[in-house]
Order: sequence, then structure tokens, then C-alpha cells
Amino acid sequence: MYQHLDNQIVRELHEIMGDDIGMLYETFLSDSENKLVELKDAIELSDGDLIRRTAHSLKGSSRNIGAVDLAANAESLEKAGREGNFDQLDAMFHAIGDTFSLVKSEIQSQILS
Amino acid sequence: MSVGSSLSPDGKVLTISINGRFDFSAHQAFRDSYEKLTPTPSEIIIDMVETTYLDSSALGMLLLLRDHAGGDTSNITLKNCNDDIRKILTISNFEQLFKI
Amino acid sequence: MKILIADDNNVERLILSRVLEAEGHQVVQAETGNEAIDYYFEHSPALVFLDVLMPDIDGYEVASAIKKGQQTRWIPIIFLTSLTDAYDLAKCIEYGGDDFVSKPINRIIIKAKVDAFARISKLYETIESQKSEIQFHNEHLIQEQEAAKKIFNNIAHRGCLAADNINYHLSPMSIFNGDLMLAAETPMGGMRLMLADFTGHGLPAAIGAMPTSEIFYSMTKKGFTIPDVMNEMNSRLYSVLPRGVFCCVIIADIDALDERITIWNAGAPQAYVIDQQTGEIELVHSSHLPLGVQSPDRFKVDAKVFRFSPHHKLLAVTDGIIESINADAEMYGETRMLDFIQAQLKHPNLCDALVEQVVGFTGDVAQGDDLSLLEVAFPHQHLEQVTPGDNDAKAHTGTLDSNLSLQLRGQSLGKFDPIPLFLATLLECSELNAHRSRIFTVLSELYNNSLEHGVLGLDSAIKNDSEGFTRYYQERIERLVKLKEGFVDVVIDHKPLPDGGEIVFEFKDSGQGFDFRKALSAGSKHYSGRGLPLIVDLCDSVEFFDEGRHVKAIYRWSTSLQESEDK
Repeated sequence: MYQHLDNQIVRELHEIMGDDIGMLYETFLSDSENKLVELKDAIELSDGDLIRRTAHSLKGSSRNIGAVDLAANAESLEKAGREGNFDQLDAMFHAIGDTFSLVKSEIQSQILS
Repeated sequence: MSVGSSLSPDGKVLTISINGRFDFSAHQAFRDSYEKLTPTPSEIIIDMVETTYLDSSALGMLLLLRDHAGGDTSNITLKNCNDDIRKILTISNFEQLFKI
Repeated sequence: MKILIADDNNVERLILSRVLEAEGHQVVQAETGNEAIDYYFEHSPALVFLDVLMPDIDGYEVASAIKKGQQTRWIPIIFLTSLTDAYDLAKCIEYGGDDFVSKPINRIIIKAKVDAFARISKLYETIESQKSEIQFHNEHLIQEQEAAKKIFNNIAHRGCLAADNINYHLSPMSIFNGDLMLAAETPMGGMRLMLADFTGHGLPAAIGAMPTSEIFYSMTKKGFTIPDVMNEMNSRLYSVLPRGVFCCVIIADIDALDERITIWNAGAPQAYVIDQQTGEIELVHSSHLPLGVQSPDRFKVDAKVFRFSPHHKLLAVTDGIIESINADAEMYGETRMLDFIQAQLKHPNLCDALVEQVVGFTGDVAQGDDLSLLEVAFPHQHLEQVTPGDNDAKAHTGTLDSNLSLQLRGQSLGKFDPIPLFLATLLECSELNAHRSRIFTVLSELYNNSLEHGVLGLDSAIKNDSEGFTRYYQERIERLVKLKEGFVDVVIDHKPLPDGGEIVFEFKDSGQGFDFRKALSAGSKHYSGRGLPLIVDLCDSVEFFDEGRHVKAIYRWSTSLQESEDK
């Protein structure tokens, strides 16, 4: 049913959240957007630790709502931040941004409407 | 401490043996070895060959047994008592109540 | 249950709280570590979920803060972690977590863990409440025991344990050990002592002590001898005590007048009659079943008699001393005890010295508290003092004008002691209470003379050495048992006088008579132990008839003379 979200997880979330599923995903979207801004700043500062923590948090929420690809992207960034590997940061950030857009539109069209 | 008992084939003689210290911890086991037998055996032997020690609660238990077995008409023998046990029995003059 | 969730990730927190709420739990949400700590102490949740990584302080620190603050309750902490390394997971437990759960959360696992912890919490609560209950009952029990201890002390420990000639050591837990120590002055100016050890512990043992001490004090006061008192005690205990409970006892009468001690041991460790001058020690072994075991019809007392002079001492112990063990599990034992006595013969306070020795032997001071022993020296005679009566206020003349006569013949002479009866009858005239001791002495001496020297034909000269002493009393018993004929005739006549009264004691016996002139003229109160000179002192007149078989003593008393005359 979904391309960018894990069907099983979304189904379960429906059961857990009931009518508030919309609220959950809205929270996810706004939180994630904030996180992305923080991430951008962290990358500009080359602050490895901040990158790691922010990415880790994004990874967590993504997993929770079933955005598997997004989570994977976040994990890479988390790893880079931990290892102090700043080569690919910009590329990784773009990837995350793209994935997020896809996930966001799917959420908006299929869950929030 | 452990209590063992055996009844003669004709059910008339009960032998109870006590291993280790004969004190309050033997209370339940000792009672169990004779209480439920019907009819009460006419002769009871307490074998103390493995008994190391006897205290006043043990004396009390022997009195209870004697009472159960008919009091003055009871026939109870305490055998193979070591010196310490004999001493205790002598001081309390239990040979007036039991065969030793 | 009320559950606290601490997680800075909004999405996670939201999902977890919904999962828990769906299970019927009440959720408190904290976004940061410090908030978590505050909310924990504010809301007192029953369970805590902690995210390990939080912006301000991490989950480990929160866990420490919580566990430190937790004094009385046990609250389980479950860490939420995305870490997978075993080392990291184990660290959760190290830091005070009780379990961990990995992210993203799986609601089935969450439910299972919460249920498991709920079960354990409940168990813990049950234990806590049982513990409180037990504590409550325990305190209650201790209070009851304190009360019982007081009652026990009032009943059992009146009497003259504080007398000069007595040294004793009594365990403060005696009520619970079943140890009982009694001492009373006898009407004859001597002292009676008893050291008893009830089997069993705690209140059942203490309860047995109460009728025992009542009997001891009341019968002693009335002038009953040891066999009568023991018979009564045994009968009472036989009927009152449960079958396996009994009382090991040593009882002794010190007769200050005749300088002898009558002693009986039923089931107790040997007692010691010590001659401090010669170093001779008589061992008094147990010769009878303990009290409460033998049915009254089969009960017999065979007391032993020894000489007891101002240089003698009695030492009686309970088995606590003999059985004290040292670090090598050796018992103190009777041999050591005997050696000790022989070494410390002239020690003024054997009792304390012995306790010290035993404590030194066991190396355990606390054990010393648990020992009970009695040391008695020769008592002062109290005849000179006019003993105060209990009911002095009551001026009731009862038997002031009366005549009592009794003849005891043959076997009855050995089976019945009439002295308490005579005394009780006379003392119905309560004004005579002040003269109790003297009257008792007169009665006792005259009766014993008639019985022992008259009817039984015993010669007091035998009593002059310590073997002879024992032999004498042995003979007494034997002759009484064999006696077929013979009698003692007693007439006590009490008449009022203007300011008091006059008692005429007349004793007649069926014996051979004796040379009373010689006895009267001897002057020394030890002459043949007849104590006649003492009677002469106490009475206004003493006359003999019928070759000594008939004695008449007159005792005059007056209410105006309350102070003792120097005799």
C-alpha cells in the first residue's frame, strides 16, 4: 500500500493511536522538520557530536512511524558524526532531504487527509 | 537429626531410632512415628545407639510417648544409651518410668 | 498502575504512552532527565520508563537519583535503548535499571514486561505488609512479655532473697528460661530455699512457676515441712502442667536452731553442702523424678539431712552452668565445678566468683546473663525478733479461749505432721501473730522430742559428728516406717488473761522416758540437741512428769509487751 512507509507498522499505529493517528504523524512531521534544520546547522559547524545526536533522534522517530529509508539515511549520518567522517555530509544531507519529502507527501496524502 | 521407626511383623513391638541430637527439632518426627498407630503397640523400644545428645525437651517428648502408651501401664525401653545420655536420665531418675 | 515515561523524542513518547494507556495504566510524561526526576518524586509512579539518551542528563543519572531517593518502596525502572551491544545493555542494569527494552518499541513486549513487573511489585507489597504485621505482633508480644515479667516478679520473688546470708545470680530472662528462685524465713527462725528449673521456655514455663511459688510461700509460713510442701507442689503441677513439661527442683530447709540442713533434689544437677572449715563437700544428687511427672499416689519425698553450722554453705545451680560450652564445644561440667569449689572454699562470694569463672570459660559475657545459681550461708536466727503479722490491724481473738487435743498413733505418726495444724489453730487468735516464731519453736521442739526421743527412741548423741548426723535422720525414717505402736498425745489449752493469754502445751509420749534433770541442768543449747534449754528460755515454765514421758510447758503472752525481750 505504501511505498515509503512500512505497512505493518502503519497498521499497528492505527490500532494504537486510533483517531489520533493524524496527530501522531503531524507531530512527526513538525519534529522532523525541526531536526532537519538543526542537522543543517550542525553540519555547517562540523559539530560531529551534534550531528550524531540529532541524526540519532531523527532515526528513532522515523523507525517508530515506519519510515524505514529515512531511518537508514539518518543512521548513516549518525555514524558519520560519531566517526568524525565529514566528507560526505552534504551529500548525505541532500539524500535525507529528498527521502523526507517523499515520506512527507505520502503521509499528507494518505494519512492526514 | 533423623527419626526412624519400624514395627514388628505382628504389630506388637515398635522400635524408634533417633540419629544425632534428640532435641526440640525432633518433635514432629518423633510424634509422627507413634501417634497414628492403631492399635498402640504393647511394647516400644527407643534405640539410641546413634543418638548423641538428649535435652530436657527430649525428656518431655519421652513423657508424652509414655502417656500415649498408657502411662503407668506402658512398656518402654530406652536402649544403647551412651554415657552422657545415661547421666541425664539418671539425674532425672527416669529409670523409675522407663526400662533403661 | 501509574507509569512515568521519560523520553525527549515526542513521537516515541506519544506512542509509548498510548500503548500503556490502552492497557489501562495512567501515564505521566517527562521530556527531560531533570523533569523525570521531579515528576518521579511528585507523582510517585509504580513503574518508570527511561530513555538512555536525553539532552540534559542521561537516563543513567536519572536512575541513580531515583534509586537513591527511594527509601521504602521498590520501583522498577525500564530503560528504553536503541543500543544493541551486550555491554551497553548490561550497563543499564548496572546503573540501577531493572530491565531494558529496545527501540522501536514493540507493544507486545512492552505489555509483557509491564505485567511481569506489576506481578513482582504486588509480591513485594505483600511481603512489606506481612513484615509490618509481623513487626506489629512482635511488639505486642514484647509488651505482653514485659507485663508477664512484672507479674512474675511480684509473685515469685517476694520473700527474702535479699537477706544477708544469700548470694544469688538470677538470669534477667528467668521468666523465659523457666528458672525460679524462692527464699522464705521459716517460722522456726530458719530459712527455706528453692531453686527450680521448668522445662520449656517462655510463658508456659513461667505460668507453671506461679502456683509453685504460691504454695511455697503460704505453706512455709504455716510451718509445713518439705515433704508436705513438695507433695502439694507435685500434685498441683501434675494436674496443671501439660504432659511433657516438668520442673527440676532443689529445696532446702536450714534449721538455725538445730544447725542442720534438710535438702531434696528432684531432677536437678547435684547441689553442694560445703564445710568451709574442713573442706568437706557433700554432694546432693537427684534422687527423684522432677515435679509434675509422678502421679500423686506414687510420689514420695526422701530428703537428706546434713549438719549445717555457721561455717557451712549451700550451693545450688541449674543446668545452665554445667552445660555452658566454650569455643571448643566443651561443657563446663561438674568436675570443673567441684575443682572450683575446692579451690575457692573460703571465698565470701562463691556465686559471683563462679559466674565469673564460667563466663571466662565460655568467653561469652552474654551467656553469663543466663545463669541461675544460689549460694546460702547460715542464716541469722529470728527468734529474738517479734515477727510482724500480716493483719495486725485486725484485733480478732479467735481461739483465745480454747482447748485442742490430738493423739497420733502408730503409722499416723509418720504420715501426718500436726505442727501446721496446731499453729494455724492457735494463730486464729491473731494477736498471737507477733509470737508466731516462738510458738512454732516450742511446738516443734516439744513434738520432735516426744516423737524422736520418746516414741522412736533415738539418741541425739549420735548427731555429734557429720556421719552420725546423716545416720540419725536415716534411722528416723526407718524407725517411723517400721513403727507399729506408740503414740504422741498433744493437748493445747489457751486461756485469756487480763492483758493477753496463757497457752499450756502438754505432750505425752509412749516412750521410755529420759533423764530430764540432766538435760535441764546442762545449760548448753547443744546438749543432745534437745533444745530443752531454749524451750525453758521461751516459756514461763517447763515441767516433766512420768519419768520424762510427759512434759508441760506454759507460755504466757501479753499485748502490752510488743518489743522483744533480750533472751
